[in-house]
Amino acid sequence: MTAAEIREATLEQLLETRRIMLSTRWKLKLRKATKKESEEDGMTLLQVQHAILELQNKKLADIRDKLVANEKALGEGIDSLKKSLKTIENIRVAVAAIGQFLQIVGRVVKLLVRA
Amino acid sequence: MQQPFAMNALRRSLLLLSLTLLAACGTAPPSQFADFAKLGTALTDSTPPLLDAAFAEAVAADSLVLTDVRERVEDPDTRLTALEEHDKLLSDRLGIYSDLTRHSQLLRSYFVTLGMLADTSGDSGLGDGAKGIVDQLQAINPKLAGASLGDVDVASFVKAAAPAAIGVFRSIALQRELEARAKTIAGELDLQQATLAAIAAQMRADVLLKLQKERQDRVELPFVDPGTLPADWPDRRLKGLRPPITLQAVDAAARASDSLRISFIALTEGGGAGGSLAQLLQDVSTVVTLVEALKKPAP
Repeated sequence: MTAAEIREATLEQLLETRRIMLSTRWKLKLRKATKKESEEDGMTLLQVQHAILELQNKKLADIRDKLVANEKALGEGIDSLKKSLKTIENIRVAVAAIGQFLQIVGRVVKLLVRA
Repeated sequence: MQQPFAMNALRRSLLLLSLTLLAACGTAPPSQFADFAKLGTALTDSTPPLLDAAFAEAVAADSLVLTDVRERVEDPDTRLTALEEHDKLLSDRLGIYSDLTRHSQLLRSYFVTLGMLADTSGDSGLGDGAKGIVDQLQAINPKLAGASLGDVDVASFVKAAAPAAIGVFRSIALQRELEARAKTIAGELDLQQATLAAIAAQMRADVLLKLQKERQDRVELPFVDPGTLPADWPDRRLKGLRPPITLQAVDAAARASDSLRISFIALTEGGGAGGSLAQLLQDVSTVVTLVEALKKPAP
């Protein structure tokens, strides 16, 4: 088993333990326990919950670290897409500018023809 | 007879257009990229509220445990140490969620920019502009007036050809982007799927714990202990058996992120992503609906 698989199996076991220790059936059993036994059970539940939080955080942190490692390439992708967009925008601007320029030229030509 | 310069330029452009059209064959149409990008944007928009809900459930489950333990552990130092340690772990988790939220916003930027490149809605305006140029040229040089290419007058042809040429450029640019970054984006979508699956698993455990406690207090202990059952006990029992909306939302998001990954693979294979995009649309719509419901205050 890999480290991740061991962690996953441990986490599943801890979550199941937490569920059992907070279940109605367990609660009914604790009603018959001594004060000391009940306190020890409480401390065990705290340790279980602590371990759950730690393992869950570790799992999320591992994924987060891999996502962060991807960010440079993702940023490059955004830049490349923006460059292509800029080319299309430049074409639009150029077409509009050429059209306007030719309108002016057309008016000048008409004036010259009349003169 | 020497051809007018404008006609020569137009003929050269047509040849170039034919060559680029051939080059663009085998790529998915920009519209599929646009759909993929739109759905990807919607899914990344859902990530922050899902993370908020996941954190709230994590704190609720931890509070449930601490409250239960407090009834049995009376020492103040032990109680305080437990609270401080668990607060620290939950703060660490909030930091991780903040990083995941920030990253989802970067991925969102990618999808938005991809969508803009794939958006052909403004291209017909470009055709009008190009036709305007030809109209002006014809007005300046009357010899161009009446010029035609086959049965089509030049101005009308250019009006149609300009958006087509831009469309081809878009397809090629999108295909180039896929080729350059297919591995990165595929890896990214794999990780997004892993993130949502991990969040879903954590939330499921936390929400089920909360439901277990509610069921215990409102259904099981009143039933088990001596005394009269509350009048609304059957309704309480029914409510306790239904899955809450937070769980449905996060499960839907995990499914949608898997659909997103499959759609991206279909796009990169060049055969088009029609079927997988339809599934993705359904999954993302489910997520968006559920996340909207999450944002509404509980009755």
